[in-house]
Amino acid sequence: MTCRNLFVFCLGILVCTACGADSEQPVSADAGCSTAPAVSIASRVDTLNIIVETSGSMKGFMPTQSRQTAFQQQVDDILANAESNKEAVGLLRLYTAQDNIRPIGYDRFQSMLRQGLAQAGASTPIPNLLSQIAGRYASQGQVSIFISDFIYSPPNTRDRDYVSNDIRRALLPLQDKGMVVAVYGFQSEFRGTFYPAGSKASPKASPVANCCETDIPYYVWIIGPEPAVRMMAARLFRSPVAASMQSGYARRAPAYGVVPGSGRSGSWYLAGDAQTILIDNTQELRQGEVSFSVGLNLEALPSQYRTPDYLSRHLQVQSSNGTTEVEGVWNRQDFSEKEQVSTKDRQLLECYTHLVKLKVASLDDRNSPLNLRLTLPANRPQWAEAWTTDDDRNPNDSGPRTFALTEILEGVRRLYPQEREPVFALDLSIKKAN
Amino acid sequence: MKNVFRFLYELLIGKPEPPMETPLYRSEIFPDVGGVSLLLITLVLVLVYYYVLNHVMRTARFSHWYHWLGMLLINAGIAFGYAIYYCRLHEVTPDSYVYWFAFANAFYSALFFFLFSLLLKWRSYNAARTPF
Amino acid sequence: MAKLFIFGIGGTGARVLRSFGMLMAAGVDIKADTVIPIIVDPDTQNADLNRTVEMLKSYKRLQGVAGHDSGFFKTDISKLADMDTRGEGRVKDAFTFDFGGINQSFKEFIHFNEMDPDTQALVQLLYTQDNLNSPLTIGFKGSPNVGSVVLNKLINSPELRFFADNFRKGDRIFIISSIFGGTGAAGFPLLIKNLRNPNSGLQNAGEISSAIIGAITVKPYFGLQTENESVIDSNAFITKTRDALAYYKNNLHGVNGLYYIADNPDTPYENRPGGASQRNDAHLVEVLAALSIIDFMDYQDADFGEETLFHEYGLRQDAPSITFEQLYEETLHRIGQQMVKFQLFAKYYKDMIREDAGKNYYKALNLDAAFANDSFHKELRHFLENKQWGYFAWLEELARNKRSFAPFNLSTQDLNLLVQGKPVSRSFFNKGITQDGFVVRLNKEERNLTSEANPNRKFLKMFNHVTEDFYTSKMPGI
Repeated sequence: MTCRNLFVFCLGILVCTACGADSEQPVSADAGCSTAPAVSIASRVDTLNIIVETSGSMKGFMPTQSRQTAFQQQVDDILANAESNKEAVGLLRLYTAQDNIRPIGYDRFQSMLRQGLAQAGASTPIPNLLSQIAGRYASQGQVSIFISDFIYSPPNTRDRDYVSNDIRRALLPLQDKGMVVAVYGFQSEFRGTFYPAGSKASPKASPVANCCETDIPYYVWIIGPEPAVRMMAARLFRSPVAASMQSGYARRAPAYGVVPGSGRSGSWYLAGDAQTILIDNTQELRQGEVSFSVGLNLEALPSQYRTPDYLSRHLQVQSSNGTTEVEGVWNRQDFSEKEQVSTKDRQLLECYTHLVKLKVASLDDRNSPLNLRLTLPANRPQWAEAWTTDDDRNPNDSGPRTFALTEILEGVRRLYPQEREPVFALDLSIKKAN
Repeated sequence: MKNVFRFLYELLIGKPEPPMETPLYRSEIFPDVGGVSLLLITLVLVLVYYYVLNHVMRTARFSHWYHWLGMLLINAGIAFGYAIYYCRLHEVTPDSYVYWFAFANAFYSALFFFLFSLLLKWRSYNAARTPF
Repeated sequence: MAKLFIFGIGGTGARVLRSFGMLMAAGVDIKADTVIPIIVDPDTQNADLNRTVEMLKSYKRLQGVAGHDSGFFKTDISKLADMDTRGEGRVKDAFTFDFGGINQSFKEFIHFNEMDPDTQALVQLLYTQDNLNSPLTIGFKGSPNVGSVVLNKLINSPELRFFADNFRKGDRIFIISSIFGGTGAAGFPLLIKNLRNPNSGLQNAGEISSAIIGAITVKPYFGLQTENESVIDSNAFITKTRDALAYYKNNLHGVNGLYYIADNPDTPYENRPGGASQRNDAHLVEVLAALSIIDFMDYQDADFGEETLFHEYGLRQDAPSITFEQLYEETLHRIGQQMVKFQLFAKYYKDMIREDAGKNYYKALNLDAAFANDSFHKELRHFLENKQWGYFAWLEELARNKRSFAPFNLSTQDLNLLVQGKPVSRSFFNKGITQDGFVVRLNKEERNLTSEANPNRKFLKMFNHVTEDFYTSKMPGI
């Protein structure tokens, strides 16, 4: 064959194959997050009530002759944040709470806060105040912020065993109205006379003058409908508050899914959905060679359940037809640093706030699926233990603690039946591929 | 059909690597690449060889076995390139498996070219007896 | 149809038969079922004769494979012995006449020594001493007076009797002879006389005597170098021709069609009185003489009457080198197409077909093995390429002779330039006749001719169809 013929031949081939070139559209790489039920956040509240307790025990937070305390700073912040959100807050009302809840003018409130609490009122038991708030200052379109040290000293010593029930009882109207309670704990210098609640065992304690060398806790409660509370919490606090507890929030199953390419071992792969894992060789399951990571979007969860600490302590996995262990829980950033992340997963990981790594330890019947249930029980937040005490008579010794705080919080939690159920229960399964 | 292609490819190169890409390979890449490259492109090239180059074009210049072999190799090359192209298009995780897959595809395309040749060559004017 | 018996007398007869055989190989039409050439030449060592015989033998073997409808080699050329269906072996299995027992001098042949002195004196008056002493085995060396005596004996030969036995009504006879030589000039009138004699004593003498007989008398078309020692003097050709014609005028009766052909001698041939050295290149005149046989067979029986039909041949144009252009339409019509087709085939077969190894038709016919093992292909290659008597040798001889007959360009490898003076017109889209075009058409024919079981016959038919296609589609000018 001559060169010319060869050339013609090659040319012919090229022409023919060029026509066959593919012109397929590139497939969109947008993974898209699986959508959890949307969290509704109100854009506006008609009325915002800021209620500051002004009984004698609060005087130490607002001293007249001393440097400004953290309390004053924080409350002023809250006030300023409330004022600056004009479009979100229709009407800002200020109250003091002593024996009763009374409205107070802006200027007086301001001077009280900044110049100090000159005249402290008589103390009123916390449940009474809560009851008033739950009754009169909680309705649709209304959010109440209650600021108090929450030192509950029942007049009757024996009532001390019923703190949680008292609190629950006081807040009972909220349950009917579908209102929620969000509790944020802070600590501040205290310059003045500290009025302890006493202890469970002993009778009434005597006030501690010229207190205190330690900070004293105080609490900001936000009460109202969930969307409004979520909005106000987001707007009033500049940064997340570590000591917080939200109760009464609607339960929403978080979006979750197995991450296909990161934090894994074994030859498994995902079926069409992200909740089912397929594996060709079940022997790997038996030999403990399979581990995988589940992404969770816990954004909408009450904040106390979202901490890696809480998740590490409480997250459980139950499995039928085998055993599975939780190897660890991380937030997204820590996970990315700790585990090798497949480039294909980067976008997918954006969908999740947390990742749980699970390991299959054993498998019983290799022909049956291994079903997993990942559950998070709803327990009292961790921080409460560190902030509570049974005896607050010597605050300098016991540190920044509040008498019977756990019981107060427990009272709030018991108000809502859903707080007795797990925060979420997520199902996964591992099947032998056919 | 999916299972046929899966069987063919995995017979030669084993399970997809990394394993996370298994569904992508099995449900998209294997059948798509197999269908387009092994069946369609190979069939087209066989038809081009037997019924365009050696039939419609009224020349017997290309009826030698080495032309046929050249066509087979071109087909294998297209299959190799197409496999890699398709994997990249689907943003499959880069792995040597992609190249093994491309090799397997080239191999099977040659095999299919041979089989299609046996089936289809008979009515070609000038290449009915190519390659033999 | 009927048989045609051709008596080729002398060296000229053999040479004309050679060209006739080539035309038959090319597939030129002749209206006869079987052609039976009988070469009458006592000079069995004559190289011209031997070349013709070899060629005819080869032709016969090829024709046996090709059959009647393969396009080439289609006319059955048989030996006289092939008529012998009873297998008695009465005649020698050859194309030649058996002059057994003439290995002697003319003197001995006529028993000169036993004659009485008066007769001896008469004989010495009629024949020179050379005539009397020269051996008969080299022919009659341009001496019709010797030839006439010897050939008169033919009538009693087994060949002639065998010919007579197999003659049937409707068969024709054609006689080729030269008028200027020895054997032919003497033998021709004798043969006519004997054949026309209803009382010759031959079987079927009646049928033979009334048969349609044609003849060509070749008048001088070459000269011989003058050599003092030679017994043949070409200067005497003209004289002898004139004398012979005068004799024919008065004494030659009973020829239905008589053809004359002649040419002006140009370069003289080497003077070889006979034997193995009498080997002359093929000449245009011999080809045209062969045409007379075809022409003769074209006439219906009814066309011949009492009177002899005379024919002469003329070129359209005088030229030292003759191509198809110098031939009249009628000649072209007779031989042009088949010669071009056969030349295309022969050329392709000789120089190009090996390059087709791997092509469709080539594989289908398993030609590699066929070329190596099949006797048909060996024979065909022999027929085409034999240096002595092959087709290409014949063409080359014709081309280099004077006057030259060169219808084909024998040196070109381009099939488009094959026909001298008539190149195939080409353009960018039309490459004319190419090897690729051949292959494509051969592939197609190979597929179409599925009914032909014999691969060799199929092979010939394929080439016949393909060259036919080329001829009609690419060579409209010829």
